Amino acid sequence: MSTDDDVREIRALLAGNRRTGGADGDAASALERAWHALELPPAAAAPAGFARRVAARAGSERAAALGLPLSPRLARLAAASAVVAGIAGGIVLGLVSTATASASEGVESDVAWAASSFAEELFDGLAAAAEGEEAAR
Amino acid sequence: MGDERAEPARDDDWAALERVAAGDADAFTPLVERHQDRLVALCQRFLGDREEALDAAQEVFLRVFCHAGRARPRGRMFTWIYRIGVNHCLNRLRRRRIVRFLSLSPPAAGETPAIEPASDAPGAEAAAIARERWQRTRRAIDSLGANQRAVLILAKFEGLSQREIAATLGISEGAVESRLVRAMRRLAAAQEGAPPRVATRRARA
Repeated sequence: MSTDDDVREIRALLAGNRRTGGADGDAASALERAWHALELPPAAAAPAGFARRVAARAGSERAAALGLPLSPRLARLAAASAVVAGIAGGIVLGLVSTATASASEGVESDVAWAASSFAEELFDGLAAAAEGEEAAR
Repeated sequence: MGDERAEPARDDDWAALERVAAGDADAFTPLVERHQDRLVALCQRFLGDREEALDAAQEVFLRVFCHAGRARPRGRMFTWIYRIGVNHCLNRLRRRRIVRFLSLSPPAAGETPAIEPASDAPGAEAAAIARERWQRTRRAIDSLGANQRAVLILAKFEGLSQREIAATLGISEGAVESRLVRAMRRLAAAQEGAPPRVATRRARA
């Protein structure tokens, strides 16, 4: 807006305001002075690379936003694979523990057999000794 | 808008935005390049701080990017970006005011950001005078509420007509006029060392 336009516009505004009983002549002059006293430095241009940075950030945010609707599907896939992995792991662990159990059961039965045969031998020995003693009498 | 009246219509902006909405992110960079300077200038006039203005402009462009698919091509695209920018700056100003209120401390004397003199200022004395004038204007603008500040900046520094300001802010032309006159009264009273005169009932409210 040129200076002439400024003056015209503010005068038009003030005239409109005067009609509504807002401002008298002196006040209007004060407003005009205040209007002309307003001055700001010319704004500097955006820095170099600003557009590229903005576009890069927008792209990364879009990627993040696109990831969100996919996440339930991903979550479902992750959950399903966790279940499958759990089942497979359970089966493997079950097999391993069965094998271990059967192996340890075998050891126990061997020990039990060994223990019972030792006892039996002991009893047999004792019984034979008792029988020999009776026969000697 | 002042500059837009002189420029030819840029329908390719809307076409570029449609490409962005369709997933062509590369179409966004030239769009930002076309409007960045005006938007940064607008944000700087509102916020008074260069770094905050750059940050705000970036957020406005991100908002444009996110809403690309929902934008309705109507009129000039910069008017749409402008509206988003003004609303964003007003929100920042309100947030700043709330933070200041909650911190229970009056604005510090040095809160108004320092303004560097223009590089083409002829000599140190002229530069100092210009800087002093700009600082005074900045303080005056900062003393206004968000609504009056918006109208004043759009009218005085962005060169928008009353009608354009009304369209940008989503208020009536009468409200624009009333806010502008009240803002000017306040500034005139501050300049002349008198308390701001309040004339209308709405102003008192």
